[in-house]
Amino acid sequence: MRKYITTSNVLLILLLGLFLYPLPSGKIYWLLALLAIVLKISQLIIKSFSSNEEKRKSTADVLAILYLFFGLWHLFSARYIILSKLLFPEPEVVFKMFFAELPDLLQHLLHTLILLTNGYVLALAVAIPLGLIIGTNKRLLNVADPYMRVLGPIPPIVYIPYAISLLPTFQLASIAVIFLGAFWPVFGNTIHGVLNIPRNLIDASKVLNLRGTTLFFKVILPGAMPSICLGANLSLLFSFLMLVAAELIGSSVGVGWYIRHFGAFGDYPRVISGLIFFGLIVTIITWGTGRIERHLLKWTDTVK
Amino acid sequence: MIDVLKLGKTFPLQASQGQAQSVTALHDINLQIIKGSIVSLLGPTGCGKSTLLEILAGLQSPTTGEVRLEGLPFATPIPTDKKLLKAYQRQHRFLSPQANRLFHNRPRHDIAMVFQDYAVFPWKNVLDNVTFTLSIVGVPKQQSQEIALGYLDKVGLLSSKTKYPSQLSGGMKQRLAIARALCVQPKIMLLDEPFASVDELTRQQLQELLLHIASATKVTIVLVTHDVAEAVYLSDKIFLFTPTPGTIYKTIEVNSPRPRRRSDAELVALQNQISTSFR
Ligand SMILES: Nc1ncnc2c1ncn2[C@@H]1O[C@H](COP(=O)(O)OP(=O)(O)OP(=O)(O)O)[C@@H](O)[C@H]1O
Ligand SMILES: [Mg+2]
Repeated sequence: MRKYITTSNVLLILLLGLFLYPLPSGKIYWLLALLAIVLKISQLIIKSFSSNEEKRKSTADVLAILYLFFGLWHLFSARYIILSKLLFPEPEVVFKMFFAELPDLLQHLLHTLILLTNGYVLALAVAIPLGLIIGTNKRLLNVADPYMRVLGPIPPIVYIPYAISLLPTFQLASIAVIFLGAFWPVFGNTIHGVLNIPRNLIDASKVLNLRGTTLFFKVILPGAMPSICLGANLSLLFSFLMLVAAELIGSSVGVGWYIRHFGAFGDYPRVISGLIFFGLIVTIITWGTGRIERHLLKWTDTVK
Repeated sequence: MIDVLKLGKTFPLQASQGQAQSVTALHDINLQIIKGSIVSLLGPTGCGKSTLLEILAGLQSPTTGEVRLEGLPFATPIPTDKKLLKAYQRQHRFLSPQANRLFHNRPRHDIAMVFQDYAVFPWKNVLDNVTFTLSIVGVPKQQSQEIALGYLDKVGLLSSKTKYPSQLSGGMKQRLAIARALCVQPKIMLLDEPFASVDELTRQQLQELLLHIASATKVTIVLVTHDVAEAVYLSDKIFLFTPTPGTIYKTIEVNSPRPRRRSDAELVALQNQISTSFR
């Protein structure tokens, strides 16, 4: 019995009470109550899939904080209206809006994802091979070094207006900007990774008479992989940043545009829906890249 | 036959306060290693044993003197003259100069090395580390699997064959490095303290394995060790080193016939003689 009395369960009961106890007007929040239960069920599903004990516990804690947040939000925007009605629409309005807008949002997402994958994948496809080649060649490295020092630290956001006027379509411009934002972190980290491959491993490959493509793909690439993954993660964050920045400045579609557009009209339920949606998408993408990273680096003892 | 003639190695150090400093790791080393023999380099820490082994492996070049392999110059100093240096660099663009020269026009894999710090590939699991080495020598995939499993069995790693090096203990990594070096059946084996981090019982097993392979394949073995008993038991010849700068101050021939017994009075006496000469 005692094992069911957890923080998240207690909060769930309180939350259900809050939602189902009618307002003076007689309104009952069925939808929100349902949502709270759906969240609990998904937590139980995730929990049953995760293997270690610590992670299981943490899913419940994460949910508890979410419940607390929703509870307070609802309490102060619907039951005791302390917060401004305009800036803090009540949860039910937002969620209804979220589901109503979902088809639209998905459509905007398509545009956003096209930009993101093009820019990001292009950056990886150029930066990783280039970094590996430059990292293994002393002369090229000496040439590249000053350029990296000058160009690397320029915040890529400053390129946006110029890129938009330079390139014929907004799509191309934002792909270029995402590319620039994503390029440097992964490029720099790839070079760093090559230079930091332990000397004894290079020595061992020399004694094994490795050279050419075998040396490149069997030693240099995996040896630099931890650093490449680090860079790729950073690049992904930069891509999100550049993506939204580009959409905020010059687009007429996309999730970033959606949020800016309705923000300008003061339509905050839509703005919050857009934010939640964007958060969910980013979470899904980083979860996916995390899986890939774990697979690539399963030989290290740090990533579990 | 490996001939080391008047070999010297000086490492430049970072200049401090404008003064160029350097460490002489090896000074005037002369030695001869007969084909198919087992020799040991014995000496206190820091006397340049690893450095000598790396020169023999072609990973470093000597500062003075040279190494000859079957009478052919194999490791020579990098030229200081600018023109000669250019030609030298062009010749050895991708590999270390010595390794390049060694493998030029030669069958692959004359040399295998067990590094002091193991140097197994951390991104390959135990089995793959060995099969990868075999694949480089050109052993077909199916065969290499079989051979690799055989050697892993011999070093006692069969049950850990799917583990990654990060999941192995130091001794296990060392045994993996040994399996990797043995499996290609090299002509020369350079072993840098190969049994340093395994327990006494395993060490004796591995020593027997090494002796077995040596007698079966006529491989030349150069063994670096701290362990006097090990040197005496395994070697035909022992070179005693002194540090700063590393020089050979004594060469000891071990003539007792094989197979030897560890408790053999002659060997024990030799051991004591070496131990006292260190003091
Ligand atoms: N790359 C290097 N740069 C500068 N000095 C070096 C370098 N490698 C070795 N040395 C120096 O050369 C000397 C001999 O080193 P080496 O590693 O050959 O010793 P060792 O006999 O193998 O010692 P141990 O038994 O502890 O392994 C040491 O004084 C060391 O500081
Ligand atoms: Mg050493």
